[in-house]
Amino acid sequence: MHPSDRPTRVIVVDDDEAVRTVLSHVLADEGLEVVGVAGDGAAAVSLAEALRPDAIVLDVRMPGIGGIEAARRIRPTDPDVRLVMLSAYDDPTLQREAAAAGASTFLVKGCALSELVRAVGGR
Amino acid sequence: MNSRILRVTAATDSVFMVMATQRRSRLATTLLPLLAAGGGAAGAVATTLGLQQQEAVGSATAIAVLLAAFGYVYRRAGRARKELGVALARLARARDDRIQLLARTARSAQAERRRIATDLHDGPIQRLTATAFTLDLLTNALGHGELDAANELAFRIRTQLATEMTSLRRLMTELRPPVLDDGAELCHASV
Repeated sequence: MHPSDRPTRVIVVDDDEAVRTVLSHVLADEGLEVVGVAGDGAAAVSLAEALRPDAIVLDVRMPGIGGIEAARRIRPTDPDVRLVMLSAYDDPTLQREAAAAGASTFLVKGCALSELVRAVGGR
Repeated sequence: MNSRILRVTAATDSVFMVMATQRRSRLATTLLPLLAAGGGAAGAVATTLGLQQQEAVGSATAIAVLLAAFGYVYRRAGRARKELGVALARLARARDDRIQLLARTARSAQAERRRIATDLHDGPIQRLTATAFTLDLLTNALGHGELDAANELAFRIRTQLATEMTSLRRLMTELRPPVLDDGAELCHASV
């Protein structure tokens, strides 16, 4: 829950529709408000600007603009948004790149749901 | 000079010039080599000389023989140098071909590894991620006592896992080196 007692507003970004859908359900099930979903980085940047969410869950590897580049573009426009990278790659180099791009957290797919929810800022 | 030419003899390229001396009173018959333009021996001239002249002619003959031998060796060396150059060029071409082939093989292997990594990322990893989140939903449903929802989620997980096993089996078939199948065929053929 957001400090102002409203649900944390989240955008889910992943190029895989099944992951996008189930991740949205899981986050909603945890009391978060999924305000938007996107299938690539460019759409994520547009949604972030339009919706001003509290957090964005970003897949790293996506067609076109990936999650790290999207984070690099979103961060200057919104210094407070939590950018949670959710990647299939457990790669320290990617983690460093993500941190340099402004990511708040880097999680590997398969992590515990509690970790993800904590990173997004739900509980 | 008190001499006369007896005859001219044709000589081969590798002829050994022989100085033949016939001692008859104070005269001697000497074979003098004729040098070809390239330095080889082209023939010989036989002369009959006095004994003093014979020594000078003998030295000249020895020098001429040496020059002829040098010319012969020089020509052979030149030919060998050319052959060596051709062989070295051929060797360099073969080396370049081998390097290019190795580079192509390495590039091809890298491309294949990238393709497999992409297939694993876009296929099994994504499906298993979805399955893991579905399991989280199942856990939540059980925690809330929503048995119908839990039952539906358990069925969905079962379906996802079956789909994933099919996908992994296909990938496993693609990764199996063809040489194993060829080897198996060879084994069958040899039995």
